[in-house]
Amino acid sequence: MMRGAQRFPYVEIAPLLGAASALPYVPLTLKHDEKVVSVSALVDSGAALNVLPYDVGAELGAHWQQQTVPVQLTGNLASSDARAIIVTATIGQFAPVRLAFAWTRNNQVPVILGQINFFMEFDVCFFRSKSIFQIGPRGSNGD
Amino acid sequence: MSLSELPPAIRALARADKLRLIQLLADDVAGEDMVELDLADQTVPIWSPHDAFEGAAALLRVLDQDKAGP
Repeated sequence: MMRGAQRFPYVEIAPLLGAASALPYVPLTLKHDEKVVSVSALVDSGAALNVLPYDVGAELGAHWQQQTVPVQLTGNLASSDARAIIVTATIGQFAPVRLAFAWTRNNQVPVILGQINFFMEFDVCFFRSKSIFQIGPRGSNGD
Repeated sequence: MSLSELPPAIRALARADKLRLIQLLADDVAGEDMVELDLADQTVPIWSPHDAFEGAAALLRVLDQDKAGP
């Protein structure tokens, strides 16, 4: 157990498939320009970066034209334009952190928490055999 | 029955049965191929941008600017 870490259950996103569809989704709040949105985000250690679907960014009051830094995505997201956006994210009782997202025009994708920069701000341990994972602020593993 | 026990049994078959066995095995293998083809035709979307390193570098630059302030 990491010091100060919080434990979360895996979420079965397709009830008919049960454990086969269980993924590490974490509830968090995103804040941008005084607007706050609660979302469930996929903790994806295989993703190079954080991804924000278009509608969530719009709910946060972000304007596409004002985000001027293009972000090149890959895979199924490669065909969708994406721009960099920074929002304040809060998980559980942890202090808010600034997270940079690739805000994509695509809405088929979940909120993804990837290596840049979610995994630079939080230490994460996955215990898939127990269907739980732990998240703690960086440094909570004692190093 | 193990594979090593099969050849003697097969050699003991009549010629017509050997031909039927060949057809049976060919059909079985073709059926397995069809199963593999069915799986290959399925579309499984993978959204994770696992190799979007240029995009990740762009986000890091934006974060550095954010830390530096306006």
